[in-house]
Amino acid sequence: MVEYLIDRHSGLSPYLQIVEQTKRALRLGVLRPGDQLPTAREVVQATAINPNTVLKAYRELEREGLVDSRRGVGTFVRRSLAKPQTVADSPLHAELAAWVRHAREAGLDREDAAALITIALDSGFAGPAPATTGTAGTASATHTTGTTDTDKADEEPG
Amino acid sequence: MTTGTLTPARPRRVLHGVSWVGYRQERTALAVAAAVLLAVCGWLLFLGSTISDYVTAHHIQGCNVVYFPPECQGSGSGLAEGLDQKWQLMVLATGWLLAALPPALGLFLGAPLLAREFETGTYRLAWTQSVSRRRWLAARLGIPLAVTLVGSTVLATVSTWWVHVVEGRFAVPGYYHWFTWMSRATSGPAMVGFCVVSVAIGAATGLVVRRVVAAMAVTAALTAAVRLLVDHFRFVLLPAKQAVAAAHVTVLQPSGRTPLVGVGHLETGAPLESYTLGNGYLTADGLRIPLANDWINTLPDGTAVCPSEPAQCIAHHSEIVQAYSDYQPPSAEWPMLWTEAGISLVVAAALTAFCFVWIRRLR
Amino acid sequence: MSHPIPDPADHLADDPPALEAIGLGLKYRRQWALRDCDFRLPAGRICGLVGPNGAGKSTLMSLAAHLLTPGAGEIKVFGGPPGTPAARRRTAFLGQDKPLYPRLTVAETLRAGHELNPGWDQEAAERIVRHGNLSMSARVGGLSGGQRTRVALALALGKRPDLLLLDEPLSDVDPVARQELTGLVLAEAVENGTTVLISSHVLAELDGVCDYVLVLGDGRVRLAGDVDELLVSHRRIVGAHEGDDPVPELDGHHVVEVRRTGRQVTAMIRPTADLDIDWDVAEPTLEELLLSYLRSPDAPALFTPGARPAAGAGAAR
Repeated sequence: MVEYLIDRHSGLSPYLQIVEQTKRALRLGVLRPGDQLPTAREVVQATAINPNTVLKAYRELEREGLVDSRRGVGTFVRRSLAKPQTVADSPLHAELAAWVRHAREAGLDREDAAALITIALDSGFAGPAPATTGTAGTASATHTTGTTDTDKADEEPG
Repeated sequence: MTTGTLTPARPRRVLHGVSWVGYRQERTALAVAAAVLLAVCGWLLFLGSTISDYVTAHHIQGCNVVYFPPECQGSGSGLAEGLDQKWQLMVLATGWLLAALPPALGLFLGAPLLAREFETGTYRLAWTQSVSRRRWLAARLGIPLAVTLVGSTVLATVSTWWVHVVEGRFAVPGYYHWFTWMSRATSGPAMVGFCVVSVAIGAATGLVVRRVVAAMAVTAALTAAVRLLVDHFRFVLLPAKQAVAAAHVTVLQPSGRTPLVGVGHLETGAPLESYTLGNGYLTADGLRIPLANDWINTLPDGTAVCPSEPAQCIAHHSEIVQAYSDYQPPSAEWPMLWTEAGISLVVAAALTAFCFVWIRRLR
Repeated sequence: MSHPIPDPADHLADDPPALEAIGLGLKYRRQWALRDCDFRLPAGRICGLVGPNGAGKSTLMSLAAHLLTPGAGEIKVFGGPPGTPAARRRTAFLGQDKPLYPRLTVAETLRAGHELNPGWDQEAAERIVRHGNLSMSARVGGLSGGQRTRVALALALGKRPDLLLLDEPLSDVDPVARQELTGLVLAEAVENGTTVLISSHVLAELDGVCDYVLVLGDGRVRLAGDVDELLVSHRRIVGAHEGDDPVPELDGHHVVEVRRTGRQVTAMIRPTADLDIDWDVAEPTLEELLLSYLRSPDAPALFTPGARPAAGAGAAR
């Protein structure tokens, strides 16, 4: 189960916040296929956002084929976005953790490190994807806008 | 005891829907009213039986402060007057208490009934539930009115007996005769009528005025007005009876030297304890000459003297053959009480109907 | 078997709207509290009712709740007049001053709700009360403002209305309870498909909560419609301009509001064509949009397509 945290002053619409937070949970393996998303009632009661916004976000997730809604039962995860590389005990995570350690030892503070990572992300993801990332097809290519937003959203918490 | 119907501890299943809400809102007021009712009934029974016991023990049943019948001469008379000294103050206070109860009901139960809903805005709570305004009003008015009807019937039963005990025995102005105001206001169905109409006046006033204190003030004025109205029409169902006696009338000479021998009541033969509505003379051809009062000067030969007013009496004195009296006999007491109750209840019904019309056009 | 998640826009066009006003007006003495009001609130929406004090918000609510009757035009609840038994059952109203019977306990207040409403949902009502740690045996007269609001909300929601009218419901509630109560109202609304009309003068309170807005000013409709549609069709632009003469960049667009601070010009516009200017252009937030309409009483009224009465009664302004 996930809990949505809606920031009303983030400038990002609550609708996108729900979509993105769901996707992040799918990517991090917090949500797995078969898991149930909180009901619209639960989300609305916890966050005090418009129910139609929640339904709209769920509809978008359904349209992307990530969740299934079963009337009277709930909305369930259909497909995970988790790649082996993104979970917490993956080699990539270990490398990044080691890098952060180095950075700290070198006297960088949190903001410095975040800035470096952002720069690296910006330049690394600027061109077309290298052919080697064969698992990238999990998210449909038609939803490029969605993925762009994802990147933006992910930047903010840094 | 029948008073049980007034206590708030009615089984809950009897009341449901909007009636429960109506009952719950008036629960405190009805409980206070029930306590007052029990206290007053208890006091009436105590005082009435104390006086009644004294009368029986001293064999002065027939004695009366108004007429002093012959059998009460001597010691009986003293005892009858002793009765007055003993309890006059309490009888007076009790009479006023009984007379004040119906208006008090109007002021403290009737007036706040709807006015408080408007003053505190709770009518908007009630009117936005699933029940219609009229059903809500029916419950809000119906419960207090029904309880008033039942409670005042109990009270009237006891107070009628009490009035019967004290009537004519005390120098308390309202309690000399069956037709004097306190006796009427505090006995029989008239009392029930006054209680019900007071509550209806209070409720209707509250609906229009919409402020509790203002509604109470207006209710007090309207209750007094309705009392006067009922007083005016209390014999509407009973045509007055007429008693006549032969009369010979003369006119005093302008010199005025003829001595007056007697002053007394105009003799008409109306039964004792009648309520006199009017006196006068009748001429042979049926002309009625009403007199301001029935105290008449008489000459030694029994001839009555025309008072200076009305001039008709002087003009027609030679043709006058009879004295008459329009009156209501003592047997009119209960029809009169029922008439008063009837007028009160008709007014109450009209006010209730008014409430239903008014609430529809309230916006 | 997969079912689509319901979309409020899926309501059939001939479904009666939850609330509809056609030429609606009401006069208090000689003053129009509400005048020539035309709008339509489709079912299933959470609609914010916004306007300065005296704009007619409470009057409109009272008309919908059948506490007032129109002086002109008509108001319809689910296609019929508000006074019918069906409309009465389907509508719940929470007035600004939250009238409750002070001598009743909380439990008795809920019982009153039960006795007065055939579709009463005791569980939902109790849930709302218990969320605030309120004792059921507490007397309503002794509750704080916020607690009274909670009981009044429980009474309104326990009725299971299809249309919930909330007049400044959270004005005397602390911020924590405000979020919690808004959540509760919305949760009940989503579960039962309730249409909510909620008035507030705290505009930020409505952001994210409403998907529909109705802005009243001086007794008339200023803005009505779907929030997303309204936001998409407006732009907040910031740029520089010398002097007091008209700003050429605004030419040809519907201008809602222009404000100048020295050389800086800030404007809320409804572009009629692509904006090809060198200014800072952004989609406004709901609060910004509402504020600019509230500050410009002379801007023409704007309705999104679904927000006008169906019968063509709403003439273009």
